[in-house]
Parts: sequence; structure tokens; C-alpha cells
Amino acid sequence: VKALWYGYVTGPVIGVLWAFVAATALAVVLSFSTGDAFRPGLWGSVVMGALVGLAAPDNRASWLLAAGAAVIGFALSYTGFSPIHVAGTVGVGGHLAAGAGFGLALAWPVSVMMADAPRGALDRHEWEEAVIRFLTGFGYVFFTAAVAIPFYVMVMTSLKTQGELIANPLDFSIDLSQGWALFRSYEELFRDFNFGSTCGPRSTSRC
Amino acid sequence: VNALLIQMGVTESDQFLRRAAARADHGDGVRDLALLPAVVPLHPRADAVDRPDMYEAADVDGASPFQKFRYLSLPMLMGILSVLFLLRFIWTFNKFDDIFLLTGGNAGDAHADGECLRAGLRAVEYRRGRGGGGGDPVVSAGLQLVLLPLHVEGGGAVSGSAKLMIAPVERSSEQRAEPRDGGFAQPVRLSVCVARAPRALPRTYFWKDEGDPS
Repeated sequence: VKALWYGYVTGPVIGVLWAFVAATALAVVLSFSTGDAFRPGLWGSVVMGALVGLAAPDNRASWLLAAGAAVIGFALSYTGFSPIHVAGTVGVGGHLAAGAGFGLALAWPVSVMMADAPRGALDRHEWEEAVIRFLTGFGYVFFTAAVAIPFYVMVMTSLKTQGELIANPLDFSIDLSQGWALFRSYEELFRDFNFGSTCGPRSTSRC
Repeated sequence: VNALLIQMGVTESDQFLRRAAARADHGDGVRDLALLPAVVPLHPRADAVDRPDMYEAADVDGASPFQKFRYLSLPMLMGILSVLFLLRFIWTFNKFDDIFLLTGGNAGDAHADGECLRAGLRAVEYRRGRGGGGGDPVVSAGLQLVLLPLHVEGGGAVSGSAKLMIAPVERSSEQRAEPRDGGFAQPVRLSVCVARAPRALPRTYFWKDEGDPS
């Protein structure tokens, strides 16, 4: 493990791992919120993660690093080498959200993880601090996704009709323009099916 | 999730997760164990970790971040972790009937390639009291206690352990309209399925219909 105890080794390793986390999380979030096609790209993530991880230790202007990563991520999103592949039908806004969003979601956390680590040799405390910050960040993302996504899907599907759900199962967006009509399923549930009452159409007791 | 994976190019078949769902009695457990750390902080006992004085002392002694986790946080969490681990383990096994009723224990076309043979005990029907949707837990538990240890040997070619699942049979509209008849209205079919060992052991399918397995 001691071979890793250098800022210029630990930084890129953490950078690449976090790039995978950020690319996957962002691709899933964008796919779900827009219904368009986004998927994480392997080599774009590897290269950008390694570069950002290399630049992160001893960095006094992390906002500059984040801004640079955002610009590069946006530019790469138009190439085959992008950290998040974007479908051809998606407009500039989608590329901006995927590319620039990835740059920010990569550079800012990696800067925080490597904040106290110098570029050269690390002592045990500096190295473990960086690693534990990465693990903490990964834990937040992973467990938030594991709890929030199923819950959101549950709520979101209740606000759609069967037809809308079948038309595009990946469209996780909620059509807010419908206003109160969104809650039609609930209205039917309570009005037509007497949900919560003992006198529903399937109730078994006398009432 | 299948649709998402197809779009991302991870898989081309929508059977990818359905097959996983057939093994959901295992997968569910894995997910539940993965979720375990998420519920730990919700528990009052986890407050035991919130002891800044101990971490200060550890800092003074020069403990590294990993050492503080391994020798302070983890031991203090061990009590509640053990309790939650045990409970989630038990609850996970109780999900078995959910999965069976939702997927039939099958993955899409699993009937076609499932190496599942019906044992002689098929289609034992009995009746249970009218009420909720699931099987009667007492009857179910009793039958499973009796039948689960059953080891089936058939014709030399088939050997494996029998598994048992009880599913409520879909009631016809006449049956639904039927008035309450003393609490015995819902037939429950009992099927026993034999997985061919050892090739199909991870995939245990349950027979639901009357079709010929061959």
C-alpha cells in the first residue's frame, strides 16, 4: 500500500474512481429527469479523473480546477471520448448538464478529498484522510441513491397514467403543467375505490 | 431499471434483471445487507459513536483515521450492528412470498429452460380463511416444516431438494361474489418443485401451472 502514499499516485486513483461515481450518478439522474439517453463513458472518465486527481493536491484555486474541468467536460461531451455519452437528439442544454455537470461533480469533491494532501510523499494520516473522505463521499452517493430512487419512482409512477408509463419507462419526469390533475389516481382511489374505508368494493365485512 | 440498462448499453436483453429477479430471494438479501449501514445512524444507540472526547483522545495518541474507525467507531457500533444484521436477515427471508407472488419464482421464459420437475405432491389444495392476500402464515409455516426437509430421489436422473411454496389461487368472479361462508372460501394451491442438483441449484423455479415440464 505504501507505493500509493504519494499525492501524484493517490490523487489520480481517487480521481478516476470518483469520476466513475460522478459519471454514473449524473447519467442516471439526467436519464431519469429528462427521459433522454445518457450513459457513462469509460475512457473519458478515466482520463478526466486522472487529470483532475493529478491537479487536485496542493491546489490553491480549486474553483479554477472545477471551472476548467467543466469546460473540458462540456467540450468532450460532443466527442466520442466523453465522460458521459449523450444521445444525438439531446440539445445544448443536455450537453451542458452532462459535460459541465460532470466536470463540477468531479473536480469539486476531488479537491475536497485531496485538500490536505501534498503532491509528493504522504504520511499515513494524509493518505488515510484522503481515502476516508473518498469512501465517505461514495457512501453518501450510494446510500442516497439506494433510498431516494425507489421512493421517487414510487411517487412518480403514482402521478402518471399507465399509458404514459408504458410509452417511455425511462421518463422519470413529472409533468407539472397538469396541475391538480396529477393527483387523479389518488382521487379515484379514494372516491371510486373507497380506499381506507371498510366498505370498499372488495371489502369482506358487512358494513 | 432494465430499460435504463438497455439504453446505457449494459445489456441488450430485457431478461437481464428478470433473471436476477428469479433469484431475488438471494439478491434481495444482498441488497438488504448493503442497506444495513444506512439504517444504523437512524437508531438511537448509534449515538454512542458521537463521543468527541474519545476521538480527541485518539488524536492525542496519534491514531490515524482508519484506526479511529476500526478501533473506536466500529466497536461502539457493533452492538446495534449485530441486532440490525440479525433482524434484517430474518426479515429478508420473510420477503420470499412477495417475490414468489410477483414473479411466480420465474424469470420471464424461465419455464422453457428451467430444469424444474414436479414432484408427486403437486396441487394439494386446501382452504384457508377469507381475508388478506397472502397464505396463512401458520399453515404455511407448518407445512414447510414438514415438507422442506423432504429429499426427493427420482429415477436416478433427478435428485435434489424439494422446496415448497404456497400461493393463493386466483379466484373466479363467482367465488368473489360468493357470500362469506364461514371463513373458508379461498383455495390455495400447493406445489412442490424439485431443482435438479447441482446444476440448477442457484436457480430454483417454482411450478405454478399445470403445464408439462418436459
